[in-house]
Amino acid sequence: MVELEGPPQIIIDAKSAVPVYEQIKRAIKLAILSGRLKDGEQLTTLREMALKLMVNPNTIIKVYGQLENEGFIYSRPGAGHYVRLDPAKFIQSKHELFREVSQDYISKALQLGYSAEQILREVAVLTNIGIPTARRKDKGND
Amino acid sequence: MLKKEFRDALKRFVESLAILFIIPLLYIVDKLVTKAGLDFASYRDPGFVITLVIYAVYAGGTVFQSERKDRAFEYLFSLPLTRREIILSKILPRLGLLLILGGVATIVVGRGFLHEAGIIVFVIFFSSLFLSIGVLSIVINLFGVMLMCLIFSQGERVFGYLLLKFGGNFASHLGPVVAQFFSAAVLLVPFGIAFWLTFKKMDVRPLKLQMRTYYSIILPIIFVLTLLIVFFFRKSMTGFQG
Amino acid sequence: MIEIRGLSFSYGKTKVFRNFDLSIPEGQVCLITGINGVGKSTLLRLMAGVLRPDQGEIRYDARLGADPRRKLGFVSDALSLYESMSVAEAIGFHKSVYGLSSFDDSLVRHTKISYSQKIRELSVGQRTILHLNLILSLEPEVLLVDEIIHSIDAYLRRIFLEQIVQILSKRRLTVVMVNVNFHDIEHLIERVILLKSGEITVDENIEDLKAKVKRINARNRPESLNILSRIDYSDHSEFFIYPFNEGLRGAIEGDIFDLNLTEIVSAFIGGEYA
Repeated sequence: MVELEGPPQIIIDAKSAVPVYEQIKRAIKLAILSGRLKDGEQLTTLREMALKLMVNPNTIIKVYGQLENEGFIYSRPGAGHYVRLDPAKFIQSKHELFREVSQDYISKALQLGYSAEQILREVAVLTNIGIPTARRKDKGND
Repeated sequence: MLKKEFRDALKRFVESLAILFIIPLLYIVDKLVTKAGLDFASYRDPGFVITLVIYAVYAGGTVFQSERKDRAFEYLFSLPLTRREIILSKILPRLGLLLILGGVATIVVGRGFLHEAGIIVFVIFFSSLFLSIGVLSIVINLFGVMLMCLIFSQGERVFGYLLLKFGGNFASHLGPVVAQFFSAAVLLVPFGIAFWLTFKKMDVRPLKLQMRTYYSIILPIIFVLTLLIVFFFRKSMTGFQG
Repeated sequence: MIEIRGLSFSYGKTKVFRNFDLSIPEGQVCLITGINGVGKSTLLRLMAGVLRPDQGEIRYDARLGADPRRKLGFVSDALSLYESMSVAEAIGFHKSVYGLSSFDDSLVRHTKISYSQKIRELSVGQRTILHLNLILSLEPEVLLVDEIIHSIDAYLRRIFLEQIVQILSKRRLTVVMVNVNFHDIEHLIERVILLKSGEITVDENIEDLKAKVKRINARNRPESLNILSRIDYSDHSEFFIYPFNEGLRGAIEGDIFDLNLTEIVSAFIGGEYA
């Protein structure tokens, strides 16, 4: 079991029509929800984020602004942005993301022609064996 | 390729012809020297005159040399400098140096020098300057300046004659100066206007595209002045030596 | 910040712009693109004051002062400077014209330029960075950048772009870039303007553009959709359509793909060559 550390790797898909700010926002949200960015941890500064990604700083302002509005981060004037883990919100958002990911998987599997039963069986098999690329907490998901 | 080479060859030929016009220049200098009553044997005075004349042509004609050689027009025009600032900063140092040289010459040679060579050097400098905007070769510029000097000196005669006829109150030694002044004005003012109008609107487009205003002013002027002078001469100018 | 009204301009017999209008608000990062020779560089030069309009006007926000060039940073592919000057002389000249008391030369030092070298002896990359350093030293409100990032190496290119991002992080800066190649500036751009024959054919925010231009892989031409261009393969064709909206998604037979900016502009331009 590998605990991934450090600030999230954000890769922007230029080909995607999903707006850049949305992509960055999702990546940071994912990092927070999956625990990679911990409560109280400081985010990369606005300027550095813009430089790293070679993105218009206005975009990062938008991202941090929206994340702040949605309650994922808070800012200390002149002192950067920090992760805020509101437990209720955390659970809800995590659930939303889980649903999203599940829907994607299931719809793809259905598209291939597998039945719901087969899908359930597959899930049982895979969660037993362990999927190498995913992070799992033995305590289970809350 | 062949067409271009042919055009170039023609250009060089015209330029080489221009060298022949050193002769009228020497002639003019000779005339100045004679008129001023300066000592023939003294090499000093012609020396000063020749230096001043050569410098006047060169200084006036090379105002844009550095921008042309260094491909700096685009940079220059992107700077927060008005056209007025640019041209003044180009003229003042050159004119200043010319004045200093002229001052030194006057001190050494005497007042007569100033009376005889003063205004014509001024005319040469500004003629060269006003021509330089449209002319890229210093040799063609030289040719143009000679033409202007010719017109100037003939114009001086015309005004001299007119002054004698209509305003003979002037002391005789002042008369030539006033005649020169008027002649210079009539020649330089329209050229100056043509130059300024062109320079004010100048940008980094090829020069050929920007010269319409300029030529539309100077060509008629030259034509008219030449015509007037020829006309004037034909109307009983006996006694006036060309 | 920049208002272009009724601009007309001819290059000799060629009329490049006829009654051209464009308005760029403060703080926007704007891309002007189009096929070669369409007038992009000419437009930038007109905006920089280096070319004079035949008719019409280009106005800058009054904040820039009586002579907006004082606060305008212009870098063109001509990289015009007094070539016989040394680097030190060029910097000194620049300082005196703009009335700068100091000069932060950190960029120039990056490229290991020798101050005694003549401008004409510098490489294109060094010259570009010198130019950039010069124009940044006057703390411009507006940057006009013409295509130069293509002729310099990837490292210097990144430094160049980082400078722009640094400034954008600190204060408002209006940037107008002319480019035909935008893989590394794509995420800086907010607005995309496509020029054709002296006119604007496309003027959109980049997000809107990405939502509206799609590639459809299909065997047959999609009905009632505007096709910019197409590429035909043995078993299918790629159709580039504009404008697309999400409402059409269900009705289209074929796979719909998003595009990056290069592909989008290419689709528009490809239509012109067809």
